[in-house]
Amino acid sequence: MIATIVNWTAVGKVVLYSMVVTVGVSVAFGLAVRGTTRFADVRRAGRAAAATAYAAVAVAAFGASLAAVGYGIYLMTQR
Amino acid sequence: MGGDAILVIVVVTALAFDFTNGFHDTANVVATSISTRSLSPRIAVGLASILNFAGAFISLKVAATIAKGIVDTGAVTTTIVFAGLVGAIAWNVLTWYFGLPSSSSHALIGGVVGAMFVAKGAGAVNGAGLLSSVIVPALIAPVLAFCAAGAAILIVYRIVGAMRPGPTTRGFRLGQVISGNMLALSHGTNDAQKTMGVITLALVASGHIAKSHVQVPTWVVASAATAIALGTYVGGWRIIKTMGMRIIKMDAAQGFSAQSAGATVILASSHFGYPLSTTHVISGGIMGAGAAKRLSAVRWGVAGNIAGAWVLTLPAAAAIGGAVWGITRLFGTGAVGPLVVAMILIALVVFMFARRPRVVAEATR
Repeated sequence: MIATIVNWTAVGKVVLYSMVVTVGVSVAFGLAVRGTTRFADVRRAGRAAAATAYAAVAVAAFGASLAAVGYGIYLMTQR
Repeated sequence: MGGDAILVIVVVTALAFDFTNGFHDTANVVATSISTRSLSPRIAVGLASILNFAGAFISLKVAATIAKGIVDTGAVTTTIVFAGLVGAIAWNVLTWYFGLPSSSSHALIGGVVGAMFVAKGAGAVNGAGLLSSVIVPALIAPVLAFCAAGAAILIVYRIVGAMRPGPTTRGFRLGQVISGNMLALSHGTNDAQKTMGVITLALVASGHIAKSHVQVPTWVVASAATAIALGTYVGGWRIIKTMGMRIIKMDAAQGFSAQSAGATVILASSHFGYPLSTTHVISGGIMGAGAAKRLSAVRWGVAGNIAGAWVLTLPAAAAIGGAVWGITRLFGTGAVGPLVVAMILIALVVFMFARRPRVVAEATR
């Protein structure tokens, strides 16, 4: 009975997108935090090239996190 | 005249429900931010209140008229809507008193189903609709958020595990400001819609809005947004304490993971037309973020009490809604019955508010 009355296609999409986006945002923000922390550490140690690389990772990852937030707000306005 | 009086009572009761909805669900959006000290309690509830207000205006389409597909909406009367609202408010206040997060949507649907059952009989309630729109989503929501938050925190710990704790914690506290605000905004777009739907339904049933051209009046949008924002600002501190401190003792990374999973699941479910309860989602997210770190980190006794409240929400609100409809009928079909019930409800709410044990966070706000 449940198999026929539940919209499993919608459930499947909700599960898939929720898992993928949550994991994606966590990876992005985790990398942003790691990049920022490591940037401060290696800059203090005088390693300019590594500092630049970590800063780039942090900026890109934070940008990806903000893009996810912007897309979320866009989805809210489209309902 | 009598019809207009009932309509006024229904509108006021709907706004009171909206207030309890915001009040009850403050915990959903601020508990983790407060518990990890990402935001001070005052700023957290202030921001949540503003974003709930804004969220109510972002999506003006009434996404779901209450109990659509669950009861025969053509047979709904203003008195049935009133009885359903009273059932939902009573259950919200009762669960607040015991500090238990429970779904306001389920309480409202339960109240309307109970009133409908007593008023029109079992034939007016669609069991399959109840199963597919309420019971199955109630099972999916916490499990999905649990898994999403659990996966998120495992990945986050993998990425930042070896980092210095100070900057890492500060970073995730900043992340929580963003994820918490997204949660508040998505809550506003979801939950204020219910009250707008209820009031619009009552306006249609009373003939103030033409059935052929249903449009939500601006005053309905503004009043629903204001009521949910005020309720959020006043805040259900007892539930905030349960969700923020009693389920797990969380760090900032766990708070971020729980909130991100919560906001994502709510947005995805709304977008794909399979709405899930914000309460079920964020509670599941908090438990997942705790259990993934260490299974014993979750106080399963508290989690069990919360699950018990979820199971009871629908039948309890239905029983109250049915009883309220019966009581109003004792006074005939006019406005006297709803007025008497409203006075009793106000007296009960004041009594419970006066008798509530104080919560430390509330006192030190």
